[in-house]
Amino acid sequence: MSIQSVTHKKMNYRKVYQCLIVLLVISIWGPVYALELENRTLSVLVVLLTAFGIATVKTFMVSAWFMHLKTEKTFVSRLLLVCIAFMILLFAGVAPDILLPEGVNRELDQNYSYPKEEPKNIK
Amino acid sequence: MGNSFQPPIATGRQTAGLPSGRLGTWWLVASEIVIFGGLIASFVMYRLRHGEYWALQAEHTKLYAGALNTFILLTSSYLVVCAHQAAHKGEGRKAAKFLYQTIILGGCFLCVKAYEYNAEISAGFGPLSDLFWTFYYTATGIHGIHVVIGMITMGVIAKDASNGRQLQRVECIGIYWHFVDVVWIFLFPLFYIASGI
Repeated sequence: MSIQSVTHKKMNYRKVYQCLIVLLVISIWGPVYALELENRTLSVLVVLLTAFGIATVKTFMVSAWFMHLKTEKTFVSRLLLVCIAFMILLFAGVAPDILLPEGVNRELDQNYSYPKEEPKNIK
Repeated sequence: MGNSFQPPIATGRQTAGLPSGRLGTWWLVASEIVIFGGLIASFVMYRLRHGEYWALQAEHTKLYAGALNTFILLTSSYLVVCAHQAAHKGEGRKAAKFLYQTIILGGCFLCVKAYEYNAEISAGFGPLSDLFWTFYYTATGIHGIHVVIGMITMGVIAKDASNGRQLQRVECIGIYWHFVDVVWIFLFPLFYIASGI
């Protein structure tokens, strides 16, 4: 075989997979548990940590071991990081327009009201 | 200069110290980061803006179906990396077997998604019923299209791999498939399990 594949030495994919499944279970259980908490701040914190924190860990595991980014050329990691950085830059540029309620010509926003009725069942 | 056909030059050439195929796959993944990243970032912005109302909408998504789909995609990722490992050892038939199993799991993922779409649209939550649902159908729809493209490509690669040909492609489709998995890893908490905030 003439391919230049990334080395598989000392990589136990089954263990990585098992860890991912355990993390999946925690990421489902965490937010469900958080709903029962009376403290709102703590509840939000638990959801953020168990849902998005664990999603980040799972992403790291998949990209590092399954996609072999740990052993891939640094050029690839830099390429991906540049794309992520540009995405964050665009987010930061647009976010104030969306997130801040104040500003010029925002009268329409203040009058906006959410629909009160739930969508009807059309079954 | 003759008119005879020449084999593609890039096939045997290395750029940036990587085989051309793998380099191309990474560029594809990089461009996909911008597509999905932009979509996810926009969703997060509007989610923060319309906090409680969108949290109510998110309660109507089916957590068990999303969890099942996450399990399916994680398992398929494991099978793809097993296929890659087999290809690395030169075992084309074994690699093809893993790839076919992955295709089946991709089909299962789409079936669960179809069930979800059916249930949600039947309950009145269509793509145009609210901005939340527009985001939901756009993001999961584009992701679903990527799953279909991955399955078709994987089928072609598995056919070659079973005959011991073009085994380097197994690694390329693996990288693509893992990326599709990573996208779902983020879509799952956004649409299914963050309804409490």
